[in-house]
Amino acid sequence: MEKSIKWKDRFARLNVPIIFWGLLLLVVILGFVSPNSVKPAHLLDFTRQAAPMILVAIGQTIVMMIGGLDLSVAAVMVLIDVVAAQMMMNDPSRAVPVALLCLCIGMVVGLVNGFLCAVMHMPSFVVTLGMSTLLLGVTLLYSGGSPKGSIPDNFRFLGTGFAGKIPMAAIVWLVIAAVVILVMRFLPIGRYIMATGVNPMAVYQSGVDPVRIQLTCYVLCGLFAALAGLQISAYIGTASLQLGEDYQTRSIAVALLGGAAFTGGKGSIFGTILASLFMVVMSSLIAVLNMDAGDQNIIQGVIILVGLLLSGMKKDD
Amino acid sequence: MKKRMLSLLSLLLAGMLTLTACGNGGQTTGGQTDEDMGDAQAETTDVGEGMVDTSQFKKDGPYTIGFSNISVVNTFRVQMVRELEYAAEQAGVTLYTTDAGGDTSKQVSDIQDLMARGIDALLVAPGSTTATNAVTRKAIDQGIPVIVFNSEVEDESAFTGYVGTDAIEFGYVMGKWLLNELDGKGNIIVLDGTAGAGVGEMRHQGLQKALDELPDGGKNINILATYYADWAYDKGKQATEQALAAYPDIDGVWSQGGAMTQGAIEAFQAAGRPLVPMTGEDSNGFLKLWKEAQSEGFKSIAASDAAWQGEVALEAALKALAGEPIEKYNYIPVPTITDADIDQYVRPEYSDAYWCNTKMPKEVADQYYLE
Repeated sequence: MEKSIKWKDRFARLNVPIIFWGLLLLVVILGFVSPNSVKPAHLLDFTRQAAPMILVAIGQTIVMMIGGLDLSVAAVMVLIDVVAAQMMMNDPSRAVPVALLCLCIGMVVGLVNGFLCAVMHMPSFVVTLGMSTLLLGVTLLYSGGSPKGSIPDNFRFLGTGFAGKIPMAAIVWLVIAAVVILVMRFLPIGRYIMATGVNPMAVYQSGVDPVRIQLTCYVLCGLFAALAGLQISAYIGTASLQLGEDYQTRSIAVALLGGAAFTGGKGSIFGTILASLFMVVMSSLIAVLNMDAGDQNIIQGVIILVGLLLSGMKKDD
Repeated sequence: MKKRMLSLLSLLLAGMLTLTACGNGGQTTGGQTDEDMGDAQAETTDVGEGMVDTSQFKKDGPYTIGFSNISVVNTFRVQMVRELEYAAEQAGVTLYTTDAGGDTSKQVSDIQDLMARGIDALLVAPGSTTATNAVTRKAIDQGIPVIVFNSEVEDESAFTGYVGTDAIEFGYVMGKWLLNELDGKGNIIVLDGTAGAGVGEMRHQGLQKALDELPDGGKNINILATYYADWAYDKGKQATEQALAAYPDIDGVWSQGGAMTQGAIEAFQAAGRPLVPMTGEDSNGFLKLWKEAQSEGFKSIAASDAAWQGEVALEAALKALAGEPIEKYNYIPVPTITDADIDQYVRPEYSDAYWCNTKMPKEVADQYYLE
């Protein structure tokens, strides 16, 4: 008896997000249904396919940690894809400056969101929804409805290339995620973000301006949405007004699956990454089950709801 | 307790958000096909079979025509509107255009606004099979002929004439070509649009029709997997990557959208697998890739939704205003592009956003699409 408690304790100390077990379970089921899908090469494929989701969801998680929400991330991604293709025009020498410009656009959008939410005290839900519509308009205006251009191969390498057997896209998000996780864990800003989500007053009393923290979080969210947009540009190589629209809602679902909450003060970058992989494996599994549309949606909904329920239980411990 | 309730509430909300993401339906179309044409014929025998008497709308020009569009958020619809605007300019009519941004209730008020501005005829590209029916019926009562195009509505009293391609035929044409390429046997994957979207489901029915027509009823065609890739490039590519990993033998790809087929070709090439016959659409991005891949022995067919259908709708409206009989249902036969005539259509100097089956003259297209 005593032994089992010890084992449990040690296990709890590891603090594995519950979504990890969900991911593992899905991979095992996928292995049974379609053995080819779990060969190492394809498991590595998953790490590339999840790249845009991981990037955009990291930003979403950071904003949700302070109790906010960003409904403009998908609109940023589409705008960035269109701007990138149209300005790079397949010219390798323009790749770096245009990419930097795109990151700036993302941060400016985040800054405006943050200003309206944190300084003007407007609800993030409404602010970012408005921003999303505004950006859609900007995108249509800028492209005239029919975007042009394409992404040069040197930049596409980041989305489609390989370093040995490892997809470049995976290396990109691994590096970025490692930086974010280290910053969140070891720099004071990480603690302040969480604390702002729980009690901004307490942060204020400890001598840090919570408004500045909130602004930082929205700017980061815009930056990560821009990174996700660039990742998609590199992946598809062209401008498209029709990128997977579900990045918006799914980025929120993924953050929640990873341990975030609408109430703020919670969330895990590591959990968000696992949840993004969870989504990719889930879509692969559902496709190989070969069901019709209705069943596919029901199964997806059930898997996500069960995942959320489990993540929610863990959070209340 | 309060916290618990809050977290439960948030879970519920998150679930709902995700579900809407999953079932994010596009536009829907009515189930009316050729069979429904019988009713229209019965009431209008005096002007010819399937024709509508429009003498009540007869009016002298010059004309002002209203166009209520549901949305322009994809390149096909953008070009469809451009072709209509160009045709209106050529015909010397004034065209008022409204865009409902995907919101069906806004489309109703848009139509009311157009009627208030004093239009002689109304063109509607609807976002719903039912939402606009009451207001268009009112327009007809006021002597404004209503031509619905691109997507059908349910109530025959709510429009004077319909113009569009048949989505089932669209899927059927592609399916028939692919099954013929495969000699009626082999493993295929299916790239569908958005789950639950009317057009997508009808195109898929067309594939089923082609399967049923095979001498063996499609027994030897094995559909390995069906992916709902939302007509999007990135999703089509991801889906094909997943399929390539799961299935060592894929003999063909039935894709109902050009951007998804582009993604599929890229996925096959990246995986180092030989290209198999794939179906596509007349988007220039796909045609450019197809042309390039012809040297690798790639074969395809591009079905088209006819970006110029607005022009046909405009012609019908002008006929109605002249009091000449028009067809109740004018189904444009689905135009196709094949390996034999791709060179006439592909425009390497234009952007991917151009749709090749067009009636826009080169000078006009140059303004919009030259890279």
